[in-house]
Amino acid sequence: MSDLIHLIYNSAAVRPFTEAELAALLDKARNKNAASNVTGMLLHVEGTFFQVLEGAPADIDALAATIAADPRHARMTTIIREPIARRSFSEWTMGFSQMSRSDALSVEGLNDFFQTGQVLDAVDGGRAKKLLQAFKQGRWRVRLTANAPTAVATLAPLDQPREAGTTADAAAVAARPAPTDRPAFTFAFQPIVDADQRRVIGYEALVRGLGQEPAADVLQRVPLEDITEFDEDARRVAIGLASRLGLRSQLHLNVMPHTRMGSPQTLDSTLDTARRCGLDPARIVLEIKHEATINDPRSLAAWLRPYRSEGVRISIDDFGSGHAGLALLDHYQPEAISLSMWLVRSIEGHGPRQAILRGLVQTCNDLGIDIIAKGVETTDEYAWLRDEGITLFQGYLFARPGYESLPRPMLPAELA
Amino acid sequence: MAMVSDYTFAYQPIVDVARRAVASFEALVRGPNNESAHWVMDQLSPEELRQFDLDARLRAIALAAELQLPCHINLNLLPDSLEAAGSVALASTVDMATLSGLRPDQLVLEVSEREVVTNPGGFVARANQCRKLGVRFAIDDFGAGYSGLNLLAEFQPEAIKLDMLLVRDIGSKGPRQAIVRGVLRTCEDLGIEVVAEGVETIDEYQWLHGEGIDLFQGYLFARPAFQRLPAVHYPD
Repeated sequence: MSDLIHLIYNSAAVRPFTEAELAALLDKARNKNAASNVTGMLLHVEGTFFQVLEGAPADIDALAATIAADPRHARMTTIIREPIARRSFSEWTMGFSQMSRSDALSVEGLNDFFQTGQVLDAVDGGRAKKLLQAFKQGRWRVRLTANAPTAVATLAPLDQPREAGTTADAAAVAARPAPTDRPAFTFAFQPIVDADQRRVIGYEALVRGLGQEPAADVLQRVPLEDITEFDEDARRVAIGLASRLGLRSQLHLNVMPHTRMGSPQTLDSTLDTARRCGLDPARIVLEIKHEATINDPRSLAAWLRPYRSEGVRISIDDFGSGHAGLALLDHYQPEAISLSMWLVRSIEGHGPRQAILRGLVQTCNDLGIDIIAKGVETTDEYAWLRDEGITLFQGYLFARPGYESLPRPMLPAELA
Repeated sequence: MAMVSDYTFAYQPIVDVARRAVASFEALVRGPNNESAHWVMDQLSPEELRQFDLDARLRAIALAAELQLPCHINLNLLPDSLEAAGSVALASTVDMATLSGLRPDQLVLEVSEREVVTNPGGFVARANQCRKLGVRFAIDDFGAGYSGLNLLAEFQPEAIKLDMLLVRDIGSKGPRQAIVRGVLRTCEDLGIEVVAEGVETIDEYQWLHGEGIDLFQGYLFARPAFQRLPAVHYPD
């Protein structure tokens, strides 16, 4: 038995196709696909292409590479590529929304997907059929928009209220010498941007060595049994430094995965320091990493309750990796979650990641949970996420972490 | 080695309410007098588990064939069994189906989230070997705690089974409703069927069906039947 796969993708036409062009496309593709024994279906509606291709893996992959290089479309996303036991289609056909019903029935190679839809009845009930049905219901439509990567070329500085103001107490806290038995450290700050309002909503404090060493270098010098104390100290130092730098937006502070939850002083010291530095607790966002949360979300919620009533906000960091799955939200609804970096990476061309993101957006919208897209590095990632309604961003695309400073981010200019 | 040999199966239907038909029967291991799966498993040493896992699938298939299974059959894979036994375990399962007069494309293998996330690359490669023959995969207890949605980036099964903790009392629990809506959105976009398992009340059924779920398993429809393929009670 020969191996078979199917590959299903969508893409956006770069310009409207005339009927003559579509006819030429049909003719050429039909001959070519018949020659390489490729079956399936190409659909076109309102600027979206959606295609199912079936055949031998080598034939399909070669064809997909040719298609990807075709300049007549862009934003090609592979939704699925997997082995199949048998073909769902006996030939390769095309369907267009703008055709008449009689064309669909009379022209060889045209199908009636958008007209009577009878062509679907003949398809076996597997993944291809399910995705075709989803497409018919309006899923996987893609269009070139103002946000499309080709249109987003330049970055402009983002307007931002000047961070100003300091208190003597804050300076004193920041200047406090580090205890001699613990490694010395300081912080870099990375802005979190609201792309809708074009402003910085806050800064995440990221621990650094005194010689700008990355967080991992600092953390590996901390014995595990000291991590809770280190974590407490770190938040105090971050608050002091942020305050000295004149931070006026939110301050996102990390609670490390191995910190001991449940003890009041773990966070009491953070709040005390914030008050002494004139930082309203309502501007503090605690970013909690997954390991700490999943084992017992109910206890976590109980522990955090007094701090939340003071206005402290909670964000579940790196949502979806490791243990911080959806079930967590059943017991406990934070103010925000941040997307795992791997989910964001190259999302503009990765169908399953796109589907996951859409599900998360659905759930979080229903629960009033903000989504922060972290680790955004390219305009393609940014444009895709913006199109799906994500507004909060953090990543190199906007600003790298600033060592002991509050850097001003950039935003793609066309989105003003 | 005192390998437990005295066990058999109960079957519980997975119902497609849109077609008003049974889509599949899940094979659930039982003791000779309908003792629970735990009762059977407790008699196994860790070394015996692997062999038991394989033998049990063969026996579940043979019995289902005797009972003239008219649809799919859902078979459980113990955690890590694909990893350990690899293609041998799967090949023999497929062979047994053929020998018993079933087609490979009647088989649905249920795996845990952990099975996928432990070694996604290895799992997908092995699963794809089976999928070439038409064998389907379902992720069991979906949303129960592990990575949930995110594992679907690595592997797109034919179906997921919503964990019964998410199903329980869903008609009155906002967060559960929001979670299930998100899961449905993702699964619809990926052509993944969603099965609601452990459905016990008409309220649960109506809420889930209202959101577009057609596949159900649970006491509301049929309890597992000892060595039988039971009839289904349709709530509406």
